[in-house]
Amino acid sequence: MVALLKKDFFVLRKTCMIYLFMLLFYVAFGVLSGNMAMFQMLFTLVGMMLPITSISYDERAKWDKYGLSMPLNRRMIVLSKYVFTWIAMGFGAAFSAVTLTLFAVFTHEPITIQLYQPSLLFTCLGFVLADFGIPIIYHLGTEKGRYAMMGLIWGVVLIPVFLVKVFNINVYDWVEGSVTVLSTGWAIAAVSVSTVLLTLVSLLVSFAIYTRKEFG
Amino acid sequence: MNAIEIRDLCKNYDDFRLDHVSLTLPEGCVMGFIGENGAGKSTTINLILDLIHADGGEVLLYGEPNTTAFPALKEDIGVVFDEDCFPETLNLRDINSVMRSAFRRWSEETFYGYVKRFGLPEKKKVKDYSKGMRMKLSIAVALSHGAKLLILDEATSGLDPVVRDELLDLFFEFVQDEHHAIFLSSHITSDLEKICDYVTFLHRGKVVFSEEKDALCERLGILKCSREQLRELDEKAILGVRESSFGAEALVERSLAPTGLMIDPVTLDDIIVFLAKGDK
Repeated sequence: MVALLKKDFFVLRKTCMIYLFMLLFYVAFGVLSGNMAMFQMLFTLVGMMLPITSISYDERAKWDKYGLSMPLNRRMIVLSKYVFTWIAMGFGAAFSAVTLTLFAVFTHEPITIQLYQPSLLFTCLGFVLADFGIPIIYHLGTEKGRYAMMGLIWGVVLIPVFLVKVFNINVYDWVEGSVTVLSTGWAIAAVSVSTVLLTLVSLLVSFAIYTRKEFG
Repeated sequence: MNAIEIRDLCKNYDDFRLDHVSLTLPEGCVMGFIGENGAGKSTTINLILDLIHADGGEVLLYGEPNTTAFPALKEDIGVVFDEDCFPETLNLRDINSVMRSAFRRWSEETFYGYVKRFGLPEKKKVKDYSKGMRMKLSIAVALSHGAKLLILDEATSGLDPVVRDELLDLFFEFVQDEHHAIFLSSHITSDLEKICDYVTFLHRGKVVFSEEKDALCERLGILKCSREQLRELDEKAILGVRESSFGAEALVERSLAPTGLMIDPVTLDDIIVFLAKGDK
């Protein structure tokens, strides 16, 4: 496991640096505009993209074939991608928490749990996207999998917009209402627990897909 | 104990079938695995390493089935594929760090010793290596974790004759330990002739022969004769024929060919060409 995590970090260190610079840019943008939502969405996307990028590098190098000739089993290889995701998302969440705290300190805003709730929800969203993305990429490969992932993200964004138009819902009221509901403690707990369960299901699905794969 | 034992191994694809492949590689020996392109050599190696799923048969490595005991067994196996499989953005230090965590018996000293011996640039990334350098890197990794069995799929292709000769010396040193073994698939039959104890010939997914190299070369020979003389020979003696406007050449079993005929020594190259291509 350590070998695989090391390999992923070595492979993606330049990519991580680029993402870090992007995050810093959006932090600065958020500070100047007073709106940190863009930055939080970005770290969610980065957390999802890193394991998928890592799988695509592995595919290009045909690393899986070589990895399986080492003292590693298929489940360990799959689990390492999830652990890598958790580490990346954890780092993103920590970075976000520190940034939001500093932002609140400098703008003299109260530091309450509500400050961090959107971050937690975005972190859960990042996990959910990765939980769908990793099995899709393992099943379809990187080329086709990317299109499937784009379709999934568009669906997540466009379907609510479509529903809003069809049912003539006031978007602002709807968003404000949703944020109010989701910001309650029980809703956040429910979302967190659901995310953990979804991750377990995703892991089992990925195990099943990867076990059947052939690396000729 | 046998390092590799394959029994009736089968794998079916739409346009190809690996058909009941069986072979045995004893400890302390080197087996050359030869065959024309598309014969199934890489498929067999992938099945040995459990990279693809067999449709029948079994593979035993040092007496253990490759499917059940495998992660532990792989500590003892060094593998070199026909293409390098290291991510391009890694350098030698990264690879050493990864392998140190992957293999219990990884030796950094041994690895850098081979790096120096092969003249590999330490600071360059893998993407800046030539094909030959990448192959040498794979070989350095395979020899640096205390492996007992080396499985080499076209490991010497793309290397110049000087380096190939040096590698053959290394492989020869490797099998001086009676518990070590090498399974070497290669088109460079001159290399196999220098180092192999056993040869297995695969043709269209089937094993044509799997025996000691010296015994094989003594058993077979090349007969050059006229077409009329060829037609007079016992059919059982002829394994492959090439006819030209000048006459005919036949790969023959010496023991079944008539005495008094001039039969030339045979090389592994001749055997592959006659068996894979010869018109009978």
